[in-house]
Amino acid sequence: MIKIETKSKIQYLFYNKVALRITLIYMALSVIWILFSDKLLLTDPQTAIYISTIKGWVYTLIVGIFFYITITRELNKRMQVEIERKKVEDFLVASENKYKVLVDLAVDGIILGSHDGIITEVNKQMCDILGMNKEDLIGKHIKFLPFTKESLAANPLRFDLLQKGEIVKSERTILRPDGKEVYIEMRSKMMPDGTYQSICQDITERKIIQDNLKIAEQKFRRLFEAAKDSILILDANTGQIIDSNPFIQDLLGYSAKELIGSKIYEISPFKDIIENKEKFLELQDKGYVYYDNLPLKTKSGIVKQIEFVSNVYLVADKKVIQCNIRDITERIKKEKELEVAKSDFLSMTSHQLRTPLSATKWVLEAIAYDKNLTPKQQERFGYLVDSNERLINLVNDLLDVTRIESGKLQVNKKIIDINKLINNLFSSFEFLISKGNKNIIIKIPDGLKDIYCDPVLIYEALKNLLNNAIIYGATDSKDIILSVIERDEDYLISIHNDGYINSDAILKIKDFQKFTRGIGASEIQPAGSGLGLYITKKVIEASGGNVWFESSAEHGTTFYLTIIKSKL
Amino acid sequence: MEKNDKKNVLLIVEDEKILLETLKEKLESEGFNVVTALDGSEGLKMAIDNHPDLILLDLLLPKVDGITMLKQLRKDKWGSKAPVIILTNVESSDKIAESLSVGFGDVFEYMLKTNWSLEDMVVRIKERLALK
Repeated sequence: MIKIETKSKIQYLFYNKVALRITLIYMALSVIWILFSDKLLLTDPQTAIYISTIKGWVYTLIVGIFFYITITRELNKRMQVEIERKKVEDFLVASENKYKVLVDLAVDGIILGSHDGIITEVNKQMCDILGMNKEDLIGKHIKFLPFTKESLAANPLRFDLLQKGEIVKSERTILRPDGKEVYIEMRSKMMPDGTYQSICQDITERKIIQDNLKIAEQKFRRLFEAAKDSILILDANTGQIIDSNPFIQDLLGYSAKELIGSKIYEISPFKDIIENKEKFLELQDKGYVYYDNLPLKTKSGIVKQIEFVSNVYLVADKKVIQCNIRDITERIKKEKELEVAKSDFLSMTSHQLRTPLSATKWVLEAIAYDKNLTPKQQERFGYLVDSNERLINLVNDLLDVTRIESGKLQVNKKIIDINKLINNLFSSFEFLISKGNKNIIIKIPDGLKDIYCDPVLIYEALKNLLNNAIIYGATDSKDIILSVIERDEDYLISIHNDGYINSDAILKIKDFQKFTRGIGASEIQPAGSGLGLYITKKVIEASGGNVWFESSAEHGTTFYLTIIKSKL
Repeated sequence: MEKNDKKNVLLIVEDEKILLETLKEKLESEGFNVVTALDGSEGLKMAIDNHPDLILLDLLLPKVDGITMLKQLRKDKWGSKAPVIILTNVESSDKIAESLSVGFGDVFEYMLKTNWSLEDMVVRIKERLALK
């Protein structure tokens, strides 16, 4: 603006100068004319005289001034018009430049087209979207933009609607010259002058996200619909069912219509699980709830065993609870059948294996009472008894292991007299003790009597440890010490002998693995199964206690086991 | 029934004949008066008829099994207190638990045949009878 004014001022001054000069020339001519009017042919003498008077001079001066003023005023007026025009012109140029910059730098692609659809202008962004140069686009008909056939077929150009003044919005796919496919959204409009304007947005990324979302949604739907688990989705705030899959509808016998919108604690099958709002709030509060083996009454009144898992999570800022309900009726039934089958197998096997063994055992024993066997026969007879005993022990151990490993090891704790249990134990070892020439020392604190434990399991463990102490203890050491100590939390029972397990052997047996025997053990006792320590460990652990040992050349070998006092 | 007053009467309920005969012979040689039964229903009848001083009862028996027989025996006035030793080859915690709930005081009265020699059994039986 300042620039324009300065320019106009210079012009104004120039015109002013011109006006002044013209006036001066006029004045000079007038003076000459006055001075020499008598000599000029054109003027009659009277007029000449008049002119040369004061009046004449004044008149000339006034005309001159008037002349000057008129000219300068006219010039000024013209000057003002010129300035205004210039101002408007400059403003227009500036705003057009601005508009051009705006169009060119727009984040959206812009195409301008003539009334017959020929491209007259494209902006930089449009060129970037299309991957083409401006020169390649201008002058072309808009329909020759590289739209894919399919997308043009799906969304054709609608000049008809544009001409009606409608804004046409459509998504089309462009196959760029570089082979890249882009999705664009075009918004086209007819301008008041009959030309067209289209604004295009690259929506490739949005489209991909949308497509992926759609695929994910479809996948989820399929999973949800086809799931062999019953699924309910609840509004975590209200407990209202938002969604349910066909499987739960089948399980409960309720239609989707009956379920959706209802509150979970109002639906009768869940009465046992979430019987009231308080229980629901608990579920909502915990975030994760797992119930195993719950009864669920279906609409038709059939009771099914179910597993109920619920999770709380956010779906777009909204808390929902997903409940997975699995019908485990069949599984529970099968598990029970399997349990019975296992149990039957175990008892049948044990019975079938032991019956001939016990027959042999007793018959052999009965024969042993016959005093008329020759020494040779007696020796052979001894082999028979030994072999049978080995077989019995092996069968017992194997049955123990089977029972442990099939999870059939039951712990039935009750209060027993520890003295009685230990006396029973030693009485069953009498033969071995006298054969090995051992001296048994039992140390039980006075007054200690009642212990809460499973007597069968403790007996089994002590039997194995005592057996080892007698058989594997050093032949020259006589004492076997069994002691019971009462501690704060448990009872510690130890069985000690003077034998020493060498370090290699310790490594082998330290974990109480099955079928693992200490080095040299088979030379002492070929009949050992390598199961005793394993069984001991398992039965003690099942009772909640521990078992371990210490062995050194100096202090001999002590095996320890604990019986926890806790009644839990 | 030639019941000797001085002799203790033992009832063995056992279906395996070899075991039954061997045990019977041994116990008789020890001076017991032994009556036998090959199944549970016969065993129950013998028990109630003879009121033995001790019953050695197998569990797996034809007709009526040992546990059932025991349950029925406990319903009888005399039978409710009759001393019984389970003498079996069935090892099952469930079965043990079940038999214990029938009125057994002592778990050691559950004997596994393979674990007991005839000699030991005689000792134990004598102990039981002495406790009476």
